[in-house]
Amino acid sequence: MLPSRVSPSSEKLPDLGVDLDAIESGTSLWKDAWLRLRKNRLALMSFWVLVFMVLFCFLGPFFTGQDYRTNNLEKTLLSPQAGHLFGTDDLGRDQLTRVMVGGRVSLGVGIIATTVSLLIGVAYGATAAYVGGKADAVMMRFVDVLYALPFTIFVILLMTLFERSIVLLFVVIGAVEWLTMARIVRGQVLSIKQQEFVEAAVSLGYSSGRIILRHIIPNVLGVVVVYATLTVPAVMLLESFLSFLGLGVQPPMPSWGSLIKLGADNIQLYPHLLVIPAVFFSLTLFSLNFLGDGLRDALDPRSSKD
Amino acid sequence: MAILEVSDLKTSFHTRNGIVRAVDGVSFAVERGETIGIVGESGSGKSVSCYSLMGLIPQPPGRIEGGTALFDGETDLLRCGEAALRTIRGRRISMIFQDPMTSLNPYLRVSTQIMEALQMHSTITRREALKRAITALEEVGIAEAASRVQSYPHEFSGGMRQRVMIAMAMITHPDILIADEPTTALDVTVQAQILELIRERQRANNSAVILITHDLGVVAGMCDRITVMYAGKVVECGTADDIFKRAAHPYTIALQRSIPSLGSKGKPLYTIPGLPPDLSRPIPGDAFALREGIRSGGKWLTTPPPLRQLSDTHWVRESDVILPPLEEVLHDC
Amino acid sequence: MFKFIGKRLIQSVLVIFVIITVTFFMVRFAPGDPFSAERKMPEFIKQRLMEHYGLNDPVMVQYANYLKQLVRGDLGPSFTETRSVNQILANSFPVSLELGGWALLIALGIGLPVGVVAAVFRNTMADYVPMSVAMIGICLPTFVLGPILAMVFGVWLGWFNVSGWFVTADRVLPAFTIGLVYAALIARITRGGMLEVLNQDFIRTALAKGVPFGRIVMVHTLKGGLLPVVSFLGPALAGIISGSFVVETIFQIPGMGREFVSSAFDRDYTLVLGTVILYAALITTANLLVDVVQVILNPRLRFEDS
Repeated sequence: MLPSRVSPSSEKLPDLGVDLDAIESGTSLWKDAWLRLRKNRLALMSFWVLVFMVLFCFLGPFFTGQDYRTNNLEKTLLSPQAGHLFGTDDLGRDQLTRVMVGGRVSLGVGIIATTVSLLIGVAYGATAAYVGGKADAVMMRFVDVLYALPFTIFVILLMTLFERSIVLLFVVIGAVEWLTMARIVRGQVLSIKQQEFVEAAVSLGYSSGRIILRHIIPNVLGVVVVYATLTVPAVMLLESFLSFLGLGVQPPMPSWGSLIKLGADNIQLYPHLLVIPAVFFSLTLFSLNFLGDGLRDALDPRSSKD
Repeated sequence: MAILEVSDLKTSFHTRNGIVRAVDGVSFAVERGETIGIVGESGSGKSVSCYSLMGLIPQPPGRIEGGTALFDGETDLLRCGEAALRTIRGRRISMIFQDPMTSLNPYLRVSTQIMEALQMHSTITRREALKRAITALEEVGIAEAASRVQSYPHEFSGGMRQRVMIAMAMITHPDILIADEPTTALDVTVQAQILELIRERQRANNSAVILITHDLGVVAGMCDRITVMYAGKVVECGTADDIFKRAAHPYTIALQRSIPSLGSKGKPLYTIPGLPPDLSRPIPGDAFALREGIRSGGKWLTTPPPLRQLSDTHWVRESDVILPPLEEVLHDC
Repeated sequence: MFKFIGKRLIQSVLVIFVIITVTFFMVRFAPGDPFSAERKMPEFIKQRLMEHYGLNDPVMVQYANYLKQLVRGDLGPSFTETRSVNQILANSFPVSLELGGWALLIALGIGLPVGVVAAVFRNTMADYVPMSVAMIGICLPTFVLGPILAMVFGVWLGWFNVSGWFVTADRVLPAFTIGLVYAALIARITRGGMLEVLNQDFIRTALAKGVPFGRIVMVHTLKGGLLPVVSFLGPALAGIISGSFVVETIFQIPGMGREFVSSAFDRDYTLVLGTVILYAALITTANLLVDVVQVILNPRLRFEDS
């Protein structure tokens, strides 16, 4: 590949019938990915389920005409009926509204904590890979050491010992989840750094800023998007796990985990209290996992087989 | 009588993007003790032909659509069924592969892998099998075979691993050895040694060898007869002299031109323009004539060109492709 | 080989030491103390107790005393129960160990065969059906699955007790609650690992030698194909432990998980530390074993090490 030969004639290139601008800016990768994703029925369905969940949880409470905090001790533990589609809980609160608000908390924690872990992980991993050498070795060794620690135990300790707040929850979960992200981003950046098109860009004399912007970021982005989609359910799982143990969000604020806990305590007589939040929670986790898998297949066609 | 006679073999792959006709009516025969070469670019169907005979085509997506492969005058390899095929594979027809780095199982000792070839086909004690394995390693020139037989594949170099592969393939004294690009992944200096070793083991066992390669240079000194394939079809076959001295098909000539020779120092190397065709679309006529950068008279673009016999041993497929004179080609580069 | 084990052993001891230290100071610096949690007691009694347990000493002195005690194998007295920490753990640890053992057995007993069969018969019903079920299993966290199993098999069908840990049948529901999720994960990992190996060139070599397919799976594929499962066992154990926190709560099992959660709530310093140390030892030992098994399975690792 001789640049001196290629560049002067580039203005006179014949019309190849393709969108050169799209290729240039790398959008064709995303366009292709979107086309492939649309063929994946399960992933597409998951996407719409998630859209529904978000709308249901975030807009729903405005339409139920109920408040998730107001106790009504005359109407405790009602079965599903007109006026209370999902029944009421042990304090007479409308379960439909509480499922919606609980979803807000679960989804919100999922998204925010993932973002936190994403920012830390990407910055850390990319720095390690880009700097390389000794610094890289030390940084990744640190991650290895943290990996060896039994994190759930520390998370439980932190949540029991200190004043439980939603901010602490974000920090704690973010602190756990960034490790894997850092590893993945580092691996991806390293492998891209060694690929021929980057070497070609270096040999063409492009600045490192341009190389990072044009070549490394677009190629890392796919992996990050896929992994983030798969981190959200992991985070939601952790949050619900903590809430189930009574260590997550504090009452009267519900989360799907604490609603499931209430259901679990009342399965003998009021199974709907368990089944309804469990279905919402599991359906959301399914959808996120299937969407993540679908995205991975769509963004990296090589890995799509098996 | 020929030990193996393949006629009109057709193998295709049914993929999401359509049916790939990888092998489309290939015929060849191998006599006992002789060496034949099957030559072509990657994707010409030369490996798929041999894998079809051995039942190594994953089905699906692969499918053997037709033809016969008569082994030793009695068994049709394409129809005899998996059980019968398994008694032939490894015992009467052995194979060695392109990449010795990945063709040996990294999790098993070399001894296990060599002995397995024997144990699969005969009742033999472990001791006896181990003894034979050590002898086989000595025969392929591995020093201190008795201790090295217990090593793992990663403890050998690439060339040594290919020697192990040969020992494994020849330990059952097969009638036929199929060598699929046996030297492609090796250093140039090792290549000649391995070819010489194959020839030497062939003579010791009186085996026939089918040498699959993309490199005409490799078959030149080795093969009695040569079959040249392009796009799943045989384009020319004949004795080594027929192919090297009296090549008639333009593709064969083009392949010969692309062999680097010592005398051509400083001159640019000829390469065949364009790429081999996409076999997932039906090609009604001469596939080579349709190749980008190739000029032809246009006679065989839509009708399939027939094979024409030039002599007792020499057959060529009709083609009206016009290769430019050599000087002009080299001038262009 | 011995050098390798020795090296990893030292690393494990270091990790445990770090965990002890971090936990010790985290617990001490957390607000509250063992005697202010729930019961109200006169200030002078509290002072007496603090004095008695050495809690008024400088933290570093307490730390040194605790380590000295620990070297003798003494985990100290519990602050909230009359028994010593050693006694409490001697009662509860075997329960959790048994629960975890059953769960692991179920996970491997179901996960491995299903994964192998799915890989061998890939893209058939024997692959699709169990893998779809596995995907559902992965999305069902223990705190959802546990109550559901209790509801169906305990309340509706009446086959098992919903809570307690007295007869052998009491093991079934809790062990399956934890085990099934890991069975699903192990099935997926096994399938992936087996497929990876089945697609290698050396499988073709074995076929060309006339090796029957059954032997190819058992001898040529299994060793390499199970490597990812072995490395997953470390994280799986950590997961089973956190699963036990939930399951012991749901089924009211007198195990270590429940002791841990309640001791953290009660600020029972010594009991918290005792459980954390035991967990850390368990996890690091398991990781060590996993590493050793990996080296045994993979001759290439053995070679690099010597």
